[in-house]
Amino acid sequence: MAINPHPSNIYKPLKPLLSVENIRKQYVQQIVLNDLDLTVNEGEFFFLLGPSGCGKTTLLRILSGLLEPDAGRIVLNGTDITHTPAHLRDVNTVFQNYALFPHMNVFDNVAFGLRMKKVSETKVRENVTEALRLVSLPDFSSRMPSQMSGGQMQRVALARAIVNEPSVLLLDEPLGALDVKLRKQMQSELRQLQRKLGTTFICVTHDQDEALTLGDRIAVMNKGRFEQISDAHTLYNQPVSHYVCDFLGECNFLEGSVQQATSTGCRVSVHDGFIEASAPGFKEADQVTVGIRPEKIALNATDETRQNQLQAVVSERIFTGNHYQIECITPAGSHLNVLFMNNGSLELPEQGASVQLSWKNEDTIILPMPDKGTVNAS
Amino acid sequence: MSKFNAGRFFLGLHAWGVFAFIYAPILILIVFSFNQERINAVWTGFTLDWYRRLLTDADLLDSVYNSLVVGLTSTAIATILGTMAALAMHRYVFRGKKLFDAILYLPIVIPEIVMAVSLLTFYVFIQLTLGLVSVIIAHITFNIAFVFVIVQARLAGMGSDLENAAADLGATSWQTFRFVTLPVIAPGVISGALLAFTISWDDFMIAFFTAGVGGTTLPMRVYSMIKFGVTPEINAISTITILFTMLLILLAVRLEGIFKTAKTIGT
Amino acid sequence: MKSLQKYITLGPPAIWLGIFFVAPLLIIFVYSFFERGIYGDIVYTFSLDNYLRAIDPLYAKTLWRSTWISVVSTLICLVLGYPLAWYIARQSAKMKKLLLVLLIVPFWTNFLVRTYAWIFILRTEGLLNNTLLSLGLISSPLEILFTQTAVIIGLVYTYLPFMVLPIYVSIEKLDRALFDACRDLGATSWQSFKSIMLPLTKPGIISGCILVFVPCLGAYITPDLLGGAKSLMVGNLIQVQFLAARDWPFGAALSFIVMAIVLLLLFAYARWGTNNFDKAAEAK
Repeated sequence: MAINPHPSNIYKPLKPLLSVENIRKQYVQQIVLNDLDLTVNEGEFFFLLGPSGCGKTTLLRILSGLLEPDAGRIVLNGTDITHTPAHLRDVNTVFQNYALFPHMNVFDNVAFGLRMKKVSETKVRENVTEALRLVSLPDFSSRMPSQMSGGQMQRVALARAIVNEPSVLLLDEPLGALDVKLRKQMQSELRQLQRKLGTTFICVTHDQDEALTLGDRIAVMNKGRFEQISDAHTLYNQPVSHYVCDFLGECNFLEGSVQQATSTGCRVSVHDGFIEASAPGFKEADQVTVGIRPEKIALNATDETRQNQLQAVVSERIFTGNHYQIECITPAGSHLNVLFMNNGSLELPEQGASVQLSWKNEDTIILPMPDKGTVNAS
Repeated sequence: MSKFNAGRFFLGLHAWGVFAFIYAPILILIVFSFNQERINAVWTGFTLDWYRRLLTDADLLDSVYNSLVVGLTSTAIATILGTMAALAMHRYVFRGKKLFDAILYLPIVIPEIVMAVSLLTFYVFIQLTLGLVSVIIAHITFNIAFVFVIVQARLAGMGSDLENAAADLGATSWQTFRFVTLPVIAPGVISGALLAFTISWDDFMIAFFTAGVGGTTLPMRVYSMIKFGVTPEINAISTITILFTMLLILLAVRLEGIFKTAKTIGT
Repeated sequence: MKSLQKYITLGPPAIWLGIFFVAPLLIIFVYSFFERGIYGDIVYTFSLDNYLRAIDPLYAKTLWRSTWISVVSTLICLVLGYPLAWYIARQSAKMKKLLLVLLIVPFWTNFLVRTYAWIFILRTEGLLNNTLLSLGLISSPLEILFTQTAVIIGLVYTYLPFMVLPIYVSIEKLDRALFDACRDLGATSWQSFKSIMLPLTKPGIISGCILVFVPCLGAYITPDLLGGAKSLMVGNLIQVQFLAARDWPFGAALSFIVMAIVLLLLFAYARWGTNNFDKAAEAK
């Protein structure tokens, strides 16, 4: 299904590890999780992505055992753990605000889980030292959490969880509390750590960049449902709903109806004329939304392969450092944004200038009208 | 601009004036406890006589002993019960939780005299002989509220993350309490206990109504001394009381400070 | 398992408070509808007489006086406390902390002792009169002790921190930029105080007033030690019913009237935010 599968997916044989079946959670009147189904594979870096209130944290808490679902099952390694309390689950969590024990030093924090399992002190010492080395904090054993920076506390929280060698590591907005620079650095460290350990990571975030950068697969959540579960490329290039398309990156939307449909693509009629797409699965007279990503549109290109063309006038030019954003209006009144790199390859059009916008058929995204929420697990 | 500074000056003057108003009476008491003159408030020379006399006042020493017994016993029991109440409110959902919350605050806010007479009425009703025990029970009752308020604030500051983390790492609920919750709230529990002891040690109203024969506490003794007439011995015993209480409070404030640093990490 | 833990934790304090706090209050509530027998015993017949007696001029006078003394004390606390809170809020963080501790510490010292200090100062042959006489500022001693003035001094002295703390919190919460913005828009200090600071710190002021008024109304020791026969407050009246007149039902009715007023005020207060209250409760 995936057009450009992520390298990490190619080499690993997919072996299901954790499955969520018909999980439902409800508070008073509000359904927080609506009959969710999900399978996470061994060694996968899996993301639950969505805005706050979409139910992602609730699902994470159900997986960790801190919350019980109203219905459904959770199976880990073939064992039903739906009603296993948190302290008996082979799952550990890195909490959003780290939740380091303030009265214990780093060593005791990391050793906590092992000591609860009554592991011998020599083994504790060995494993804790190794865990601290893995998160690059080998000399921090005797520090108190109060003497550490956010990034360091984050690593301790990681070490405290991985030292228990859980089957699944849950991360709740792990980088949310860090500043932008540190977040980038921690992203790559997190990725390396996950590769090295081969442990399944399930990470909750509202940050699409983080999910796209790190995730082998991503589940986009909306109002207690999965909108789409797929790898980053598919999600971005072939979103199945308006919601997913809008949530990940930017997109120009035009409304229209399918005029002609074939087994390989379709032709959509919009205010500005006709737009062609190589998206199958629609039939004539379907009401649809057409999406075109701003960076896929070329300005005044002579390239023959760009079958879709629209005339427009530049209404605004915005410089954002590495990019130019050009806002255009078509004669029919549609607004389209175009994004291109600040690399000198193109002459910047003046405000009010007439331009030709063009893009390829396969870059046209065709989406059903928003009210038809479809669930597609790939 | 100059007007602004003048305003500032008077604001400062006022503030330090108020602090003088607060501290002067206490300092005067302390100073005059070392004064030789017995009747008039005129300084005639330094003496430790009044303190020496306190040591030979058997009634006074008895009342100190009673106050210590009442203070220590009621503090110990109220600290346990108050902490339990705070934990229950923190952890569990139960019917009548809001009502229980209100009842926990009520002993702090209703007038002391109302609490005193209601307890007296109750003791007579159940035919409990008034004595030291009745005072202890009364003190436990209002001290539960004070310990609760302090410990609950600590628990609220701690949140539920740490306890969740402990459970996640394999701790049973008892282990979570023993290794995480208790150590983290311990400074709060200790300052709650210090507070409870101070309040018990200082209480006159409740003891006045609920103590029977042999239950005279130090404040009751001081009260009857004051009623009898102003004497330098009262100054002396006041000074000792003031210094003792200040010591306890500074200790509590100290612990509070230590706790606050712990709290900022925990949340 | 979980519910067992719940009952073990909740049970003991709940049972204790049920028996030794709620039950006694219920008992005096019930008693307040009974009548006093000839020998100070209790006659178990329902009547509203005790509540009616409370508004009899003889007793209403005391209730009225208590209210009056409490109102005056509260206002004095406000006048003294607001500028002080303002001053503290404008200090550096370290100084703030120190001043707040300085404000609260004496509050913790023995109530009796602090009241006694004022007897020592105010009485006829006390420090104040001695000093003023020897300086020749007065020719005969001032009679302050055993008057309403002395009671008010004592109450203000005792409850001032209750006024300062909530006001301090509300000033502290204000954004300094508001004040600057106000000045920037051309307002004088006084105008910006009146139009910005006063309205925005109103919750603090109201909280402070309630927190001072409530304990003043139920005061017993202060009027007992500093006041005379003409400055008795309702607390003293209750005490007399229980320990001297042995008219418990009437005393119980008076207690309930005081408690009702107090709880009503606190209920009103709860609508002004509970934060300030917690602070003051801790301070108490």
